[in-house]
Amino acid sequence: MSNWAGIAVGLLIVAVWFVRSAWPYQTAEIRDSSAAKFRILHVQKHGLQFDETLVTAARDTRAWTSRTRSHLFQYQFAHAIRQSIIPREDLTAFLRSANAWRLQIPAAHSLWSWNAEGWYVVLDDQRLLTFTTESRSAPPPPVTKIFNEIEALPSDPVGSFFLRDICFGFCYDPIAALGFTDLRGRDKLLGSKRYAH
Amino acid sequence: MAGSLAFASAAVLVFFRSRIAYGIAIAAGLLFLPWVVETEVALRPWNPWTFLNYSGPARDVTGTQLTFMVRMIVSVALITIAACCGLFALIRWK
Repeated sequence: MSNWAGIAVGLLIVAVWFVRSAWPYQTAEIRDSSAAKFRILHVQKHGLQFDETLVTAARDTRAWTSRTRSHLFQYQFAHAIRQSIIPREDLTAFLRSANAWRLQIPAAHSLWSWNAEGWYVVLDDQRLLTFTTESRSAPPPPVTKIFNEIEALPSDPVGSFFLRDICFGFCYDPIAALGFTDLRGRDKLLGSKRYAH
Repeated sequence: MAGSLAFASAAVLVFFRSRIAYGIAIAAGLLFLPWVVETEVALRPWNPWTFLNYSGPARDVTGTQLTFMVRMIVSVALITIAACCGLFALIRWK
């Protein structure tokens, strides 16, 4: 009996260590610190499956589109990236309209409804805007317009990678999907010192 | 090293002098604590669990590092369970 109690308490201690270490999602990687002009993440949740498309645009009009299909209870999932060039006038028009937005935005969170859709926009790696079916908010038309335009542009494959989540999909959230997989960048984006070491 | 020897001696002693073996198991667990804390501090801002989130081409993280992290997690789990079992057995023995 005492052995089972010892095993239970030992496992509980390891579980607490795991939760404190694994959440929020971060990776042990040195990321390229080049700032993006904007990032748009479109997430569609169908049951346990997430279809994510991330569009990232740099100041020099280069854009990257990455697609990820992940499942809850899945450790590793594929991630394909393509590169394209946005017409400068489209980039300028989008940034001009984005600067004029005055929106009351709910906090960014993962989608938990069985079927849900979310749009997450980050401007200059500083301003995070969230629009989800759960919060009954829709993105401004320029967001979907530039997103669809970039998706339709001719593009070159950059490569296929894989993502891993030791929490089996439960820690990997929209902030991580937007590319903020280090605590410092995450804190900066969320304006919080909560996770700072 | 001292912790490993302590655990080995506790594993032998448990058949002859169980009370002493439980005490040694607890002490061995405590001996490993500085190693665990030092490793966690040295890895900051990362930790052994975040190495298992590694994605993409092998550029920053090598297979040796990943293997080390997996072994560290498994060893910490086994050390914690062994020390807790020793503690509960000692409490029950008293």
